[in-house]
Amino acid sequence: MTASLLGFVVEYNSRVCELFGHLHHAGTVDLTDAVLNARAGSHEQGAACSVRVVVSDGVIQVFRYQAYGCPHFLAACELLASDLEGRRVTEITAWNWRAAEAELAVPAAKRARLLLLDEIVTQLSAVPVA
Amino acid sequence: MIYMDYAASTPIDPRVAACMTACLVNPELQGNPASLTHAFGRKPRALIEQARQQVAESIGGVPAGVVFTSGATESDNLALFGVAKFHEGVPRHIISSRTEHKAVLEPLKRLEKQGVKVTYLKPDAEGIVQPWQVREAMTPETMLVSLMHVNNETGVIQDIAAVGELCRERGILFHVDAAQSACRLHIHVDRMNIDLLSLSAHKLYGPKGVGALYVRRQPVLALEAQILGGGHEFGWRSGTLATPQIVAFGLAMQLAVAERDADNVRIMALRERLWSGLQQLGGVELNGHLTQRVAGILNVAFHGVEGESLMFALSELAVSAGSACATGSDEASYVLRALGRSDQLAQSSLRFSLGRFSTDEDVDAALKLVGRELMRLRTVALMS
Repeated sequence: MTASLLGFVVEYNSRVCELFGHLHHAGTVDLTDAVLNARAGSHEQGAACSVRVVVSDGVIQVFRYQAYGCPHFLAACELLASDLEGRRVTEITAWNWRAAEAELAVPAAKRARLLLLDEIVTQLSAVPVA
Repeated sequence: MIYMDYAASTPIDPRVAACMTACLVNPELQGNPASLTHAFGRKPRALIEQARQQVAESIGGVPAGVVFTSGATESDNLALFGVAKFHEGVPRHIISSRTEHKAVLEPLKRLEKQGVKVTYLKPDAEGIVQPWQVREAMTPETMLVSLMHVNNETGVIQDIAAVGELCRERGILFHVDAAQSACRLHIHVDRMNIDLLSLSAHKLYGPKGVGALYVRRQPVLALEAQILGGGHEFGWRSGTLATPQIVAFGLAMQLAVAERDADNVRIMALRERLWSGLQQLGGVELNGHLTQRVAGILNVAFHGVEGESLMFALSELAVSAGSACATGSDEASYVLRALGRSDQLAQSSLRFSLGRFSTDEDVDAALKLVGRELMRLRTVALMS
C-alpha cells in the first residue's frame, strides 16, 4: 500500500498495514499495576512512545503502549508489544530493532524512530523486577 | 473511495470529455492547426480560435492575449522568466509571497541566482498578503509583482484588484497565478489590472496537459519567449498546438463561468456541512482566513494525531496532506509554516477540496471515516 504526501510516495508493506490496522496492545494500565514503565521520544522528534508492563512470576502478563508517530512507528510499537507479551522479563533484551526494521521494511530515513524502541527496551531491562 | 482532492485536480466534466473525444476521433481534425494551406489544418485551427475566444471571454480579455501552454506551471515559468529575460542588463526586482505555488517559487529561486532581487512577502496568520505590504516593498527597480489569486493549500483569496491598481499606478507588471481561482471566482483582467494570468484546464474540469498564459496586449508587454521553434502562439510559445486539449479547455472555461455561481452556492453548503461535522469531532483548527476563502477548499489541522498516520488511516479518502514526514525529512507544508503554524500542526493538517461532483453523501461518508479513525488514533496517541 502506498500513500502520497506532498508529492512523495511512501510504501507500506502488508505487515505494516496489518499491524497498523489492529493496534491491539495500544492503551495503558494503572501506574500502580505497572511493574515496569519506560518512555522515549517526543512529538517534536516526530515519534514518541510510552509503555507500561505488568509482570507476574517473571513473565510479562500485559504490555501496553501509547505512541505518536508514523504508520511504520506505530506498527513497530505493536510488534514490540506482541513480541514481548507472554515472554519472560529476562528476554526483553532479546528484542532486536533490526529484525523489526526488516519485517516492516522501514525506510532508512526512519531508522532513528526504531532506535526509540531500542531505548524503551533498554529502559525496561534496566529496572530490577522483584 | 471518496474524492476530495479537487484542488489537486478536478475530474473532467463529461461534457468536456465528450467534446475532446469527438475532436480526437474526427478525421477532419487530424491535421496540424498551423497548416493553413488545407482544410485538415484550417478546421482544427478554427476550433482552436474558438477556444481562444472562449478563454478570453471568461477572463475579460481579448483572444489575441491568450497563449496556450501545457498548464499553469509552464505559464508561470513563461511569465517570470519571460519578463526577467526581457529586462536583462538592468537592475531587476520582483515581489512575490512566501505562500506561492512551487511553480512560481522555483523559477524565482533560479532568477535570484541570476542576479534578480526577489522580495518574498510574509502573509499574516490567516494567509492574507495585504496590498500595503506590496506597496511598501516596491522600489524603482521593481519590474514585476507575482501573486496567486487563491492559495492552493488554504483556499485563501488575495485582493488581486487592489494589488493590480497599485502596480498599474507605478507601471509595474502584475502576474497572477489563477490556477485555483479561474473556476471559482470572477476574473476580469482589464478591470483588475492584470498583465499576465496563468490558467490550467485540469483545475476547472478540463483535461490535463493544457493551460494558458494571458498576456496583456495593449500597451505591448515586454515578454521574451522561453520555448523557441516555429513561432506559434504569437511567437511566445512554439510547438504544435494540441487541438483536442485546447478545444476541451475552451469549453471547460465556458462552462466554469456559466455554472460558477450555482456551483459555488452548492459547494459552499457542502464545505460548511463538512466543517461543521469536523468541528464536532473536537481538536480541530481551520488553517487560513475564515471568510476570505473560496468555497471548495478546507484546510484543517487535527490536534493530537500525527499527520502521516492520519493520512494513512484515511486511505479511503482522497485528500492532500500538509506533510512530507514520510520521507524522513519531517518537512511540513511551507505554506502552513508561513502562516505561523508549528511543524507539528502543519504535519497533522489535511486539505479537503470539494467540487462540482461532490455530494452530501460524500461529505457524510468522509465525516464518518474521519471520526472513526481520529478517535482510534487519538486513543493510541501519546500526548506530549
